[in-house]
Amino acid sequence: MGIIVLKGYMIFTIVLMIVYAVRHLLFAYNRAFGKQKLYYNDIYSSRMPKISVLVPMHNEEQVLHYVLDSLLQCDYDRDRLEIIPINDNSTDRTRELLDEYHAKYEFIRPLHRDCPDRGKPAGLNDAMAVATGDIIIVFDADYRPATDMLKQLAIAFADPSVGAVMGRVIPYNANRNMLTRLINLERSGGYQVDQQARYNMGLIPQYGGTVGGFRKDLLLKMGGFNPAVLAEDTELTFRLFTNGWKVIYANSAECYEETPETWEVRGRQIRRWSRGHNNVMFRYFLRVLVTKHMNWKEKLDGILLLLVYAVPFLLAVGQLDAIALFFLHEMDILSGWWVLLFIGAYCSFGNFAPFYEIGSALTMDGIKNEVYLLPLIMYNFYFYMWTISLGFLDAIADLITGRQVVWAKTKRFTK
Amino acid sequence: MASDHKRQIYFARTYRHLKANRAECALFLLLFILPCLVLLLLFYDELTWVMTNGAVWMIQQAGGPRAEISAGTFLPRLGPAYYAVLPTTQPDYSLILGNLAVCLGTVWVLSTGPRKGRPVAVYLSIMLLIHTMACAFFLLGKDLMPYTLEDFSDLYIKQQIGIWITFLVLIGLVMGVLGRGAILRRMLTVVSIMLYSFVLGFVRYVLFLWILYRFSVLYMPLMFFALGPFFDFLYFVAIYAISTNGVIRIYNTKKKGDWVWA
Repeated sequence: MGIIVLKGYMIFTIVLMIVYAVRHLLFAYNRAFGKQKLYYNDIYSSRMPKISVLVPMHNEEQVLHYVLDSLLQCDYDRDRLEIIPINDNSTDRTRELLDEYHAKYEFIRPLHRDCPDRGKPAGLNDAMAVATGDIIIVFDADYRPATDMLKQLAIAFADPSVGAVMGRVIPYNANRNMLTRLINLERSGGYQVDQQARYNMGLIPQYGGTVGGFRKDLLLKMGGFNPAVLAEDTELTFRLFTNGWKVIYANSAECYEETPETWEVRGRQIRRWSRGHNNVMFRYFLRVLVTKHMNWKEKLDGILLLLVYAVPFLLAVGQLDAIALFFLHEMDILSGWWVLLFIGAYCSFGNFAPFYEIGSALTMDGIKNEVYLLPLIMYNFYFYMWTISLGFLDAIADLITGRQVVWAKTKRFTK
Repeated sequence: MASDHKRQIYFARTYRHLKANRAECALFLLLFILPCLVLLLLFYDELTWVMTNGAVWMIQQAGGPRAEISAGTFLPRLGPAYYAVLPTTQPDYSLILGNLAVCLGTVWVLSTGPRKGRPVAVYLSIMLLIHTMACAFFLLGKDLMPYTLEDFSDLYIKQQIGIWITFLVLIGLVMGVLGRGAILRRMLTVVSIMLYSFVLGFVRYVLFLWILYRFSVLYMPLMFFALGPFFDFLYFVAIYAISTNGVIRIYNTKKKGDWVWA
């Protein structure tokens, strides 16, 4: 019986991997050869909506001037714009620097938070309570929006069915070291192919928590962000879809971010994402299945998207399963070559984007030579499997114990 | 055109894509990949025969015994999968304890200091833990080890055929469905991957058999899990990357006109 369970689990893992491999093959094909669904670039109105740009910050003295100076360069009517940097319990010079900006620019209105419930969701809730804009646009403190970014993001809300919009994220420190170059490859595959294909195919483009926006009244009506959720972005995506709203993707709204430059920081970031994403998966798995607001394609993609950060854990168990079968003299299942398919499937899955999806993205982007780094993402596989599995176990522990999540900020590297 | 007019309009990369050529894609899959797959299925027995004979000869040249050749079934109604049969060398306790100590020491080094959490350290740690499990297994119940060197040889050959079939299907789909550019380039990519796979599969087979015969079957799990198909994907993706880089260059220079916007 035990052997049957072990073999059954292995076949389940293989099938799961094939499903993801095919899903990404379809995405890559759609992006490379399909008709692209354009964003609302050409319908700029003379009367844009009033927007509030929220920038959550915790000890961001190193980088805050980049994001604020970039926002000041943005082409948007000043009387329809306010910028609210959320100084969330900072202990460095963030408060002082923000007050200097406020003294110079009246429409930069810092919100200083000195309270125990530190964290992005709680900070966004407080800022929304004082924001005067109809549309909320969010940037993390390490982002550098281009001059047309605010207009590009805000214009989507002329469509009354749009609940949230997400732009494209591009690392500006991509050439710093091997890690940043590899993250750049993942970002390219993840946005240029994955997000755009999901938008093209009418699936689930994901709101990513930064370089994006949403309707303030809608979110307030839904009770604001849940401070107990680490992945407030994924939660918002599924909250909107299960309530009949659309999230759309703006591939043309390119914004630059700072990516982690050390493996230690990257590992902590990924583990936190995994914990938050899996937390949302536990909350929304059934809701996605039963909601009447999503069609079958959206449900299928929604479930696969929810499971993305559970898959590495399932694979880690599959690896242990394979080792157990080996020592039990049962590795020879289905003439031995299924083991290869198992390994092959997860290698082709890679981490966040399989190799052919990244290859397609680099072709679309016209980026030469970086593709030579592709074989190295194989080594990332074990790194991600380990850190994401730890995040999955964190989420399980959160679910069982009901413990409070503590927000952690990603370390900045800009000097 | 007036000299102050812009001579060239640079189209954004945002929504550009390529024209699909479904006929070319279907022909590539039907006239090249499918026949290759059929040939592989019909002649994998010949391949394993050549590979096994070569391995037997090389091991003998290296001072090993004259191995026998046996045959197992890979797919019913298709040819047998040949493999070399060598005597099993069991590890002695000093070898097991030595390996165990080296493994645990290396894992400790990899999981402390600046190496901790780095991808290669994580990868090596997982692989060394597999070897540690093998050491513990042999230490506690050497007689319970279910595999002989003959079993491993049989499993390796079957796995190798699996690699060939999977790689052909995978690169066929990637080059056929997602591939662009000259057909010859795509065919060359497929052929390069398959040739590399044949050569590496053979060299690794000889090396594995020699190490397992010369030193002991203690290293069997490590070879199976750490140095097996995982490494095959390195050259697979590397060759794909070389091919894709060529495509990127061509479409950014000579074939700019092939782009379609939205």
